[in-house]
Amino acid sequence: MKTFVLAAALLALAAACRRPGTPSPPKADGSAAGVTMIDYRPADGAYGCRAPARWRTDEESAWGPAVTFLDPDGPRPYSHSISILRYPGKADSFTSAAQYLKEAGPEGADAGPVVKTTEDGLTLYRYHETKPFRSLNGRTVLYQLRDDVVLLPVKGGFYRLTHSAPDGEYLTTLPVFEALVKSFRPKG
Amino acid sequence: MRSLLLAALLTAAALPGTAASAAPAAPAPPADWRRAGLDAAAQDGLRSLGYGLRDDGAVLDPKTRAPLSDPQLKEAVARLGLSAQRLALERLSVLLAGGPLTPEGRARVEALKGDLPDSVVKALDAGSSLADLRAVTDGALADAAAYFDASRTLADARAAAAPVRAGVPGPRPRLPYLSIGEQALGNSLRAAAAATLGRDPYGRSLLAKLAGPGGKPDLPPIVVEDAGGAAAAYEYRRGVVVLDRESLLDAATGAVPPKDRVALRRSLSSRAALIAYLNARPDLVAGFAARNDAVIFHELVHAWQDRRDGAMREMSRGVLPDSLLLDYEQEAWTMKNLYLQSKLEHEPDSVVDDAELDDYRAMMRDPTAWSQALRARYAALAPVQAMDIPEAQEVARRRLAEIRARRVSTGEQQKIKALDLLAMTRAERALADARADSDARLAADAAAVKAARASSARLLARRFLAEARAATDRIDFGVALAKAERYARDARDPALLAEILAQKGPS
Repeated sequence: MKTFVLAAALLALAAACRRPGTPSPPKADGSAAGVTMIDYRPADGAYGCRAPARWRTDEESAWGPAVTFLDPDGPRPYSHSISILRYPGKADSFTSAAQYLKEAGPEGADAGPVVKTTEDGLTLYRYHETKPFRSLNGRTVLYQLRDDVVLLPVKGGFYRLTHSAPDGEYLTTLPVFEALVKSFRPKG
Repeated sequence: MRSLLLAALLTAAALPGTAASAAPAAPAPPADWRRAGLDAAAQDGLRSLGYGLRDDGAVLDPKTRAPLSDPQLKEAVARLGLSAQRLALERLSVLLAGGPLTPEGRARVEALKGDLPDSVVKALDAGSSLADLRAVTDGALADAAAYFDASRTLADARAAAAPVRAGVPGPRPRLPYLSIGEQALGNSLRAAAAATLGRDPYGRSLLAKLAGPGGKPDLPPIVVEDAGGAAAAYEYRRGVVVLDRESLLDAATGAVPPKDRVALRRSLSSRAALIAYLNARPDLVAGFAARNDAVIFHELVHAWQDRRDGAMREMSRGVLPDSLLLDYEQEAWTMKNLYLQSKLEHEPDSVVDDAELDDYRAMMRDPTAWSQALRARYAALAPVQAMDIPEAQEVARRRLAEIRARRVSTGEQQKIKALDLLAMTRAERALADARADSDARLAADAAAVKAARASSARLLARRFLAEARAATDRIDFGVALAKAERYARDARDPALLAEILAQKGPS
């Protein structure tokens, strides 16, 4: 079983990087919190970053450039996720991180303060907030969802990088998110 | 275990006289769904196929309304399981067609394992080669398809292939209601929902989309059933809106003094008693529809999608797999929120401060993140069923290829194959049309939301100001006024903010 997984992982590593929107081969192996990371680049090549190899990747563009990585493991598969959204989107008019923070910044009693940092030459705004996670079509609150948000200003807009997970479990995959944030490089 | 079950079912389906519709040789014991220990998913699945699950345990056949026997119930449940298994195999087949599994693909396969047959799970766990995995998957898929093919008659194939006039829901079970009382309640709820939605211009625009031949709103039947935690649902198999029985029970008991609630709840524990109670109190029914209009609106958008596009019709016929199309969900949630926006503008007092309004606020606050979170929620809670239209198209292409490759040896089999090809080709076209229209609709919805955002905070401020003014309690007054103040600040409307602050009076 382990032999197969290793062989499959080696075989699949190159293939993983050929998935839609990821033309370049992996540069190096690495992991965060035991999760193997690979290079990721969207179809338009707007940025590059390290992303969890085994996590499900949803690239949808209904209302703007977006990708979501969903963790298939754990007691609640796909309840931990990392998303990368580019603003302004088709349904909003946010043109800067400052405007976003003013109009849609942290909300709720559990929300953390906005912290401005400079990491590897990039200006980031960090905060967290929690909100109820509800059943499909229902009003039942299944758990509180914690969002750890990083806003990264770029020319003409900004990126919103978000780690979402059940409030009591978010620390288990937060290092994966931090590895993605640390590697995130917008083009130009 | 699963292989044995499949073999037994294949045999039963292939042999005349042993299928569920045939008369048993000896009287079989009546089925009792409570004793059978059906989980919520199985109960929902049976209801969605039109089976009636009565409080006394009897399970009624969708067409004849006769109680099922134990073996008939077992076969119906097994058929449900096989339907889920077939979809899981089809999704696996699509993943394997893309070449060696990526780590991400492997993780997706893991998520399907619970619905895959043992033979495939063993092959996956044993680290079989890609070619072997494809072979075992195709074999299992052929078995599952053969079960459904063998259990269908030429008449079934003809019915599935028959063209349906545009705008008509298509063939559905003829009797969505189990009793006269239930039908009366359903009609009251439909009338109450139409009256509530008809008070608002955006609500009227949806009613117009659901207009019947005479131009009047023709809402789908509404039934009251256990909805498994959902407040409401649209079931395309029956073409009905399901309202949650527990929610209606809460509404009924909430209308009496607290001291009487426990006794009333006990007396309304059966579905028949609840229906009779509500039929005697039309004002209670109207109030329920008015307070739950946003939920009902959402489900009616699905009813419109069902009449507009062919996708759900093909799912109800079994041509396309049962799935939750994410584009449809996003459209329904967005339109529901645009309905709330319209109500805030025209009749703010009627907007209930509940989970639906929370969702509206989240969408207006950041539509891009809201859209992403909505899709992530469906991915987490319905990982097998929730899919984009392009993914559904992949599965449909796989089914079409499977039909083309089917070997036939009799004239009847040849006819069935031709009809299946006709139906599947039409279903593929329905998905392609839905995909082409969906892009334009989502873009139009995005533009509508973008425009609505400009006035959202002001409308919310006015709504909560009105609530504060109507409050009879100091705490309620303070909470509503604080919300009004917050939204007025967000709206950057100094005049409105001054009006709100003036309500506070001297501190």
